[in-house]
Amino acid sequence: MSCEGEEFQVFIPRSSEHTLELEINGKNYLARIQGRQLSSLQFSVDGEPYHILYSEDRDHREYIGLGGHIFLMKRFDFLPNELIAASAESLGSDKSHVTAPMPGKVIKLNVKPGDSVKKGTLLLIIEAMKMENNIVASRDAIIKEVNVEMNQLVEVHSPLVVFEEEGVGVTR
Amino acid sequence: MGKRITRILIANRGEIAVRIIRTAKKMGIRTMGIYSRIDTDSLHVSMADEAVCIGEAELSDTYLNIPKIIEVARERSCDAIHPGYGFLAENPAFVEACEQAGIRFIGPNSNAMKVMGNKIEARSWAKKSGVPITEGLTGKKSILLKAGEKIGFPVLLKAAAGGGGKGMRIVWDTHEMEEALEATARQAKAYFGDETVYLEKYLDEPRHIEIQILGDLHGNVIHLFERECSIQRRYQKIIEESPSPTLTPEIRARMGEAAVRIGKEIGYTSAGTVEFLVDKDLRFYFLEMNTRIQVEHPVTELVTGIDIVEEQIKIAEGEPLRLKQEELRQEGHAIECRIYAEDPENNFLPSPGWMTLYCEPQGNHIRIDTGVTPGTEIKSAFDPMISKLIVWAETRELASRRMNEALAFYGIHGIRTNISYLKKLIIGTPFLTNSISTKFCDEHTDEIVAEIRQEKAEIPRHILLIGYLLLSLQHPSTRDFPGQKA
Repeated sequence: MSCEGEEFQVFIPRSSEHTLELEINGKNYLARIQGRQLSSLQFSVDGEPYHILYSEDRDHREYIGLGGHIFLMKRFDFLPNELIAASAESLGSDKSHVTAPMPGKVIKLNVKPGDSVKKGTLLLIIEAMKMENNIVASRDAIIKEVNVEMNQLVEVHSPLVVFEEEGVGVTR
Repeated sequence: MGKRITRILIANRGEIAVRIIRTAKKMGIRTMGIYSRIDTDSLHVSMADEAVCIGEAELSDTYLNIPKIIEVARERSCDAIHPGYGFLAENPAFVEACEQAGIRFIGPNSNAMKVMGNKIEARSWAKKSGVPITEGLTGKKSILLKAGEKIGFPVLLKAAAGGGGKGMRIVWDTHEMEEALEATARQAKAYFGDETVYLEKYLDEPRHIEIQILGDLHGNVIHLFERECSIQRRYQKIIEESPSPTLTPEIRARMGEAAVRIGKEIGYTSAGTVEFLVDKDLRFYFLEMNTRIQVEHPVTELVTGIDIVEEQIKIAEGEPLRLKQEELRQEGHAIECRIYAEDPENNFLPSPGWMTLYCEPQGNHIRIDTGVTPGTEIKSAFDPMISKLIVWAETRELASRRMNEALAFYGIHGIRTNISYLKKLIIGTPFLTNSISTKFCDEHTDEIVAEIRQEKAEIPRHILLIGYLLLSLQHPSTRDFPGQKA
């Protein structure tokens, strides 16, 4: 994810209906949702209350407002409409191992070993908190292993897909 | 006279049109809106009982089009017109057109308007009423050239027929004088069609304090105390408050009496405002009189409990003032902030455009006067004011804090606004200690902008990331929480 262009690594080890355990750049936080209206959210982080506003502009850029300030936000794993340049690195995977950014259920599996994929290709979808999260290829690659099956429940950091080493068999 | 008003045409747009409609509705009076094509989706159009489109975008075809407005008022049997502020509010020709058409103009008579519309005449009336004025004069260029030395620099040059700070110039010494006189005359001619230049003593670090008055058709005039409007940017007020933290009870009473004397002298018959400059020793000087409702009238309403628009309508109906001076009190403290579509971090560049989010703060003693709704466009064709945020509290300090919190909860996305600027200003030491003057923005803007940037940088990023994640993880169908409806 990024905030005003600055990138952060975010993991979600555990979540329930109204709480979320997170790890952001190595630090752990406990968040709890307290209320939501159409474009605002009240929540607490480690017991401290916050109130934020949310908006999306005509080019689908997303903004969070807090205390009279406005911040441009981006999520790289979440691609609602189109598969644009996505970065699996930001999800905690190295160049060849794609791992789960959050716990959830595999609801779509798009690749099998031997498939050749382009950067940005949809590999699989994990459903978490009733939201579909697209897992996409961070580079052009050939699929070496697929470690999950349809409807399988995965934990954070679970291995999902392994690519062949970079440069192996990829032709353009 | 004495006949009830049943249908008011509102010859204005935006927040003031909406504001007038609210009071008319409360009084059971029907409202007739007018609008230009580009305002079709505006709040004042949907709120009025009826509304007529009177032209495309040009102001001269629409909000400044006297014959057309009178024609609509007649066709739709309106018995009164409220001009709001700006546009035709201080145009004596409009008042005369109303009089000729037999439609009541909710404002003063054209004579009082004419007198106060000309700075030189206005000052002579103030003088006649025994109200102090700053030394000043007008005349031939040769006389004005020498006047600076006589009165003492610095001096202020302005258009005799002007207002609103347009074309004003401060001259600090004699060799700047000739060029400044020429430029001011040129601008006076361009803006107001009259090249007469008015020269007066310029007060260093003055305060701008004004008295709200009400006069009826029976010769009664009262005042509703003062508003301090010292915080301005390029002669445009941005923060106003009542009571003034500067005045003593004695000076307040004297200024009130002075304003009432002027009102009585010219036979003033509506709501009006007498503006004064106040120097460091609390000497006050008549500046000008605005013969209309003012943008900042809500602060007076919150501390006195009086609906000024309602009083204007009652006066126009011929009723004597219901209020007696000795019954009036200022209770607590009210502050107004003007929310503008402009970028304080970029030299206050106007920032019109579509708002992708418009979310007002809510709470006790918070009032918002606006003509916009979520998803509307701030149009570059008009004033960049989005709204006025007004708060009330028991004390000035509490009101500042309430304003700061309300601003923090005021969400406007998609365009730049001065919200962060106001939010810093209102709890900054100069404001809290009342170390302010009309130069405040010139002196403190750089510092405030630096503070805004620092505050933004210090907001913990993990809070934003978590909030954003919580929002995006929540599917719309799961937006139900304990004790809250989906």
